[in-house]
Amino acid sequence: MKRLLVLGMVLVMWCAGASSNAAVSAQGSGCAFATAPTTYEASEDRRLYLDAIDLAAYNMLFPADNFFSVEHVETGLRNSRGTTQPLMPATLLKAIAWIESAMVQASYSVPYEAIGPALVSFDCGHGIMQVTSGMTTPLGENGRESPEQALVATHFAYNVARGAVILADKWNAAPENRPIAGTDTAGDPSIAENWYFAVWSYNGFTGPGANRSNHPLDPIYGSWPRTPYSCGPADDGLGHNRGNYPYQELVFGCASHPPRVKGQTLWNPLPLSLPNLNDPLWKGPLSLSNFSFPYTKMDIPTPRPFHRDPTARPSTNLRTKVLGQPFLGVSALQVRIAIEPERTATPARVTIRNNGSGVLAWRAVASEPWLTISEPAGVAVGADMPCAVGSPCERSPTIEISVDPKRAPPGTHKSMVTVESLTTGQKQDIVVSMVVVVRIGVPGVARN
Amino acid sequence: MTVLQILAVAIRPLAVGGVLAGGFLGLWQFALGGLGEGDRQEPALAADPQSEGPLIIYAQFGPQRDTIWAADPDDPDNRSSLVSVDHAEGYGIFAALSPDGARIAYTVLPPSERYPSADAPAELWITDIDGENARLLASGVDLLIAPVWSADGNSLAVRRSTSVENAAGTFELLHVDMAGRVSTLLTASAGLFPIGFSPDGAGLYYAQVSIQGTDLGRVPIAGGEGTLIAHLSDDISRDWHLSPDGTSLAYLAIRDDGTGFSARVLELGGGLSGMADDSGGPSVEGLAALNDRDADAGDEFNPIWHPNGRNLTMGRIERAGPSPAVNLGAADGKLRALAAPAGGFDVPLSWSADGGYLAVRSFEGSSAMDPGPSYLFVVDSQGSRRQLSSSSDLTVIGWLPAGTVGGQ
Repeated sequence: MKRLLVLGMVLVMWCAGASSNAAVSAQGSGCAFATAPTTYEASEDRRLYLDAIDLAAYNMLFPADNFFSVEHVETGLRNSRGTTQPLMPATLLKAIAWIESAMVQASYSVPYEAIGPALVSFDCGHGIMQVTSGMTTPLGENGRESPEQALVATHFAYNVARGAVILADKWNAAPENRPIAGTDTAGDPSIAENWYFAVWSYNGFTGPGANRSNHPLDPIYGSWPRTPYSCGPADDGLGHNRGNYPYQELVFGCASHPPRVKGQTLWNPLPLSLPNLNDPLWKGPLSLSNFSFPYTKMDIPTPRPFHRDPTARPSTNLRTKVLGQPFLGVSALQVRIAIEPERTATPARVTIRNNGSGVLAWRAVASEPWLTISEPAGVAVGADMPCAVGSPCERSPTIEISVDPKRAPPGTHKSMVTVESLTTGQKQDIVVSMVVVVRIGVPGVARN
Repeated sequence: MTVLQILAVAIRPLAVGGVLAGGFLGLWQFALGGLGEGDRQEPALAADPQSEGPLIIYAQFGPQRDTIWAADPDDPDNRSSLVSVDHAEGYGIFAALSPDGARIAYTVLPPSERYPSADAPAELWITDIDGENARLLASGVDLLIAPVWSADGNSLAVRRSTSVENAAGTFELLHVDMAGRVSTLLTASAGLFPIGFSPDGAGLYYAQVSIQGTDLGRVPIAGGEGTLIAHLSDDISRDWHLSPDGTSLAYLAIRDDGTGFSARVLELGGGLSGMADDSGGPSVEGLAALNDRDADAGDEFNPIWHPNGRNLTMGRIERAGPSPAVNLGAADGKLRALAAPAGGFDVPLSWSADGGYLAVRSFEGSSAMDPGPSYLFVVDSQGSRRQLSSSSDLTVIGWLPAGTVGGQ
């Protein structure tokens, strides 16, 4: 989830999982990766991503994975909270994806149907859902990125799944840390309007007077009233300048007025209602004085008329279609690196292949701190995934394994690089032999 | 494109000598004084329809580039592009026209901002009205707060804010001169919003929004501490507008019963020592009625001052039928309707300096919570309404008085 934190005015709280707004270079040391790993950008029609989102809304992407699945969503009123199935409105997820990233996984410089650096924003938002939570520092062993971080950055489906988890977390933050929307509908999560506060929180539950407020009445939004925001065409009579809207109105507006790509609307419009700020039932709870942690006075009825997302539960076949059946392969299980102590090393090259289908997210881990790997993570793409003609699309990436000659211990050593398929759990160990080269006399003549 | 070129393409020949204010002002005074509350008749024409008039200046949002136009309010299709501003994807400029109409200041997220957001540090630029001499004045300012010009056009007020964990943030009001020298007028840990310079240029009025509500403050430009001088509302207030003579402040405040906004007027008393101390205090005679209306009044929007400095114009939802902007007369406190839209409701945005034209945003919906599509219109002294563009994404920046332009 994008952006920052929290706070309201006086008492505020840390939005669970939210990041600070401090600007951090995508390539800076502040994010999970020193340099953005490579990822696959699918077709411009976003069909693959839209299918992934439909699956995520029904928790069908990775239901057995604790990190990438939604355990449950809460329902009920403040004093009678229970749990229900982990479902959420797919259209809201699609709108969030569009607002966050225009629904792309790779950097904006990467063409569609191509491979290139992952999209990483200045505040460490990664990929389609601009996942920031848990992506600001490396969380793996030895100061490395964790497998989960690599999946979020490199694989669209895991990124989408994590975005859904974060949105569910925002929903489940009520009533302890957030208000409830839907006091008259038992906080029913199948009603899209009841996600109003959760969507607000996805960007930061910030209130009036905060430097980036998402409060709908905040005077930082210079015009009142506001014609609804639209992700649709410029001539639809609605608003398109994002600076005029709080985050949740961007998302609700985009859900109601979806974008068009190549003449096709990306999803069926879901005409969502906003809280009626001219009615004390909604305006009262949203009063300035109530914006104080833990926001117990901000519970609101469901905005009317309310809507349930018509997106049908996907078939299990769709999951297979979206994820494919990746199968890891590497070009060599043993490599040799020649090293001139304190000077240079000649790297070895290993190609990582996806001998199956879909997108395979991989991570390479060295057994020794002085072993270096040119790319710590990335994707290998099956033959079934389209690559646009003339676009960068190295389905089988080649990594360079080398040694830091200044840190390597003296003598000949054997060490290991493990290439791990994060999507299947397969591992391939590559034995790395370090051979010391001593140069004598004539350049080019060496004796081991 | 130079101003002269602009003039060449602007449909009508422009006035030399700027003679229009009196005539148009008289016309609208007629309108304001002659229509009772609830009347719907359009004001009669009292000026030469062939007279040259002002040009409306507005920005048209584009996903990556905004265009600032000058248009003839009598024939909006007859317009000239003044300035194009590239910006970060999805986030347009927030602009203001200098009092003399010669320059435009704007905040912008530069196109190099690859991951734009509303709270990303923006730049403050200034350009001549013809697009020449564009230059960066300051960096790291807040995008969403449009620059505020001093009365003499020699300086600007903008806002800079930074996030602070577990707090509202840190806010600065900055004073920026035309050489780009930046000084901090005020720092606070609650939301600050620049409203306007006092007419003598010695102070800057600002609003401060905190959990206690909205307060009006004033800070001296020459240095010194900001002083809160009036409590505007226990809740959010917005759309603050200083009267042309700087003696009164019009603004919107949330009704106590939570049923929308109502317009209010605060008399500033001409100086710090004479400030009123609450929003319900004594007001400009006639306008006092504004603060005392019953709770039954319709939802109101954006109270702006008529150029005569005595009347207020605001949007107001009527119980039934289309809701035109209304004028509130200073003399008698009565509301008088302007030309009504075919449906929906109007929110006034800006009067031309001569009082001959009013720019409004016309919403097709029925209320603030169901506003529907909206478009900019110009309402003239005859009650005619002309749509500026088929795009909704327009922002009025101001008006070029015909005399000013003609004198270039």
